[in-house]
Amino acid sequence: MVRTLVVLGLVGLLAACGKSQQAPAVRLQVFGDPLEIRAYQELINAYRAKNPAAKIELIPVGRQNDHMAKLATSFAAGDAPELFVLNFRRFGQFATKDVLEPLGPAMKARGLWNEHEFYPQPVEAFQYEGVQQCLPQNASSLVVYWNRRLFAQAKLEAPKPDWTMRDLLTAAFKLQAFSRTPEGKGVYGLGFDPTLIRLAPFIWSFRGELVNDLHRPTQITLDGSAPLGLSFVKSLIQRYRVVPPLAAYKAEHHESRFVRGGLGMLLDSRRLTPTLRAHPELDWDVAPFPRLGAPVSVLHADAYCMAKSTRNKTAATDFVAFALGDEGQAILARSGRIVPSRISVAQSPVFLDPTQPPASAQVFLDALPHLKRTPNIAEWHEIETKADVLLEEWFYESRPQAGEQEGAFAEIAFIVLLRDALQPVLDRSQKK
Amino acid sequence: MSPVRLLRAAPDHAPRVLAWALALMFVYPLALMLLESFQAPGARSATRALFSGLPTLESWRLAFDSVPLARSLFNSLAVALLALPPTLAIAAMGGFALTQISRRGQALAVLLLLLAASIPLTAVWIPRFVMFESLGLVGTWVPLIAPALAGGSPVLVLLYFLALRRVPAELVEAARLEGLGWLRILWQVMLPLVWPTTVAVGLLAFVQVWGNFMEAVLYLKSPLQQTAPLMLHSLSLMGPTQWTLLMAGACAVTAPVVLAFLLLQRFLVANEREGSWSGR
Repeated sequence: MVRTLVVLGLVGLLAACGKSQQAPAVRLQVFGDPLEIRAYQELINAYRAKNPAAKIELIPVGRQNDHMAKLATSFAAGDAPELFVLNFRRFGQFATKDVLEPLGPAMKARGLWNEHEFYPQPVEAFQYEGVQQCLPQNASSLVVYWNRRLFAQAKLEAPKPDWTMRDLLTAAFKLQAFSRTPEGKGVYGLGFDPTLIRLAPFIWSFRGELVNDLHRPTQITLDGSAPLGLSFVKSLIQRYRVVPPLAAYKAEHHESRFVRGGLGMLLDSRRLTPTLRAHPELDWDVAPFPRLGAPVSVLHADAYCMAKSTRNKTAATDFVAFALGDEGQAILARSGRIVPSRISVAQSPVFLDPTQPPASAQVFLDALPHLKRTPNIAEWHEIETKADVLLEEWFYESRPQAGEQEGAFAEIAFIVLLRDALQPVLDRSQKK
Repeated sequence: MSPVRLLRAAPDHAPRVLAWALALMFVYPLALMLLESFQAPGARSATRALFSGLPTLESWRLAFDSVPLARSLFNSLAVALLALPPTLAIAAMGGFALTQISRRGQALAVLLLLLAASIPLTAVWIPRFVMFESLGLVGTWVPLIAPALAGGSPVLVLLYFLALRRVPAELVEAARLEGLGWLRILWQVMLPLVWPTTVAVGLLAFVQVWGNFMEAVLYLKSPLQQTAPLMLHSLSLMGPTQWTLLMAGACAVTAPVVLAFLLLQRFLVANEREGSWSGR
């Protein structure tokens, strides 16, 4: 009798941990740091305040990889969240499997979506076979974060809106020279992660290309002047030594080094802004990615997507309409984390707030017409992951001092290696 | 010279010195974590002197403010306390049952348990998710507690098996002759004899449930349900400029495990000495 009661009690206890209420109408799964998650919660609270009957539940996941694992498991089990946020470099994994309900047509049919109110670059990035699958909520790009105090100490002028690769190199040089003075000890000129997404703008600046066709890539090309682009990047650490070497990179992250004043310039996207705002003692601003001829940078964008299995599509699209409206975009923009995809909000004081750094926030908007993007095919994340390992090894490997010709040959040899490693992944996508 | 000979040749206090050296190796990261957590938030040089500023509780305050760490600690404790009794009961029953079957059956069962222990978690993500989804239990703590109904892990069942098989079979036979049922034999005769194993299994099960990250990611949805490892993960996303917050969070999440070990290790050691009744 006692045993039966214990077992029943245990079952009851487990059941008590079970669902106490019915599943909400719309679940929104997002990824991000605590600040971003808080902004999403504010967004939902604001929506609930306007629509008290609305049932929206936030499912926060920290890192993007865990977010993807959770999404993949949920889709496989047939329990996908109605709405979720995707980066365009991961979007292809879902679009090609036909598990997305195209949000563009669904919202357009209800008069809730007008693509002309948004920047065209992120809008285009979330189209698959001509259909608007997901709707972008931000449109960031790679920019140069620079330390005003270090620039002043090194007697450098602020970067101009049309500054060039040569200007970048000169500034990095002078900062490096400053590091040889007592007050500049330990300062490095420039920092960036040697990853494909960070190096792509260098390759494009030198008129190189990553793939033969952005929409239907069949070949990793890295052709034209791509070796020159890579050669320039390599020279920053090998020849000019303005980038922290491997030991310094592994000992202290660029972000941390920049915040404590040990790095003059840092290449990053908008995601760094809230981190820097949390350090009021740091005097910083942003400059565009330096040009070599025509300006260019790389698109970073996330979007709201809807699962095909969504039952209450009206409730889901209503929420997305709010999130992408002036109020919803303003709430996320205030977090500092995003460059709003909605033109009216991006050009408003909410984003260009003169009281909040960076003073030159307009740089993010000016870059938009010149942004290029990487392919949004299903295999792109795998290609980037493979490439990043090789790129880090190549970037930090120490070479004996060589002439320019030997250097160029080394870059060509590396590109052949890179192509050989990445092409099979691309070939696999064509067999499907 | 072989390690055994080396130890024999060493002075009497050598093992103690070695033990202290090993202990220091394990204590060092914990001490570093604790000292860092009392530093002011913000980025500093990687080569700075340890504990370079005045100690402050600011990082602790910010860690608890940035994420619902207190609630998540409570959630983790609740999950661990719910999972622990069934884990111990079922692992003990499984281990005891194994001691009562033939040698051949034992070998096969141990092989199967080892095979089960070697299955990577990722391989069963989807089938398990589908199962819990069909039971309507996704978004609850049940999937996190459910492994307890299978003894927590094959390793825990094996630990009990290894401990219980050291108890002479005559003891079980005598208890059977006295008319005791199997559960009573386990509870009244066997478990008191392997008390240190129960403490060890309990600690291992607690650590396993307490540190369960991936299943919490997969199965929990509401921010109100989230457990401590998820909050620690969130703090890590605040980036390398907020290490002190992460260290404060890490201290808060590690403290219950360290405390549990410190409290129970006395029983573990004392009972290990007392438990030498069998002379083995």
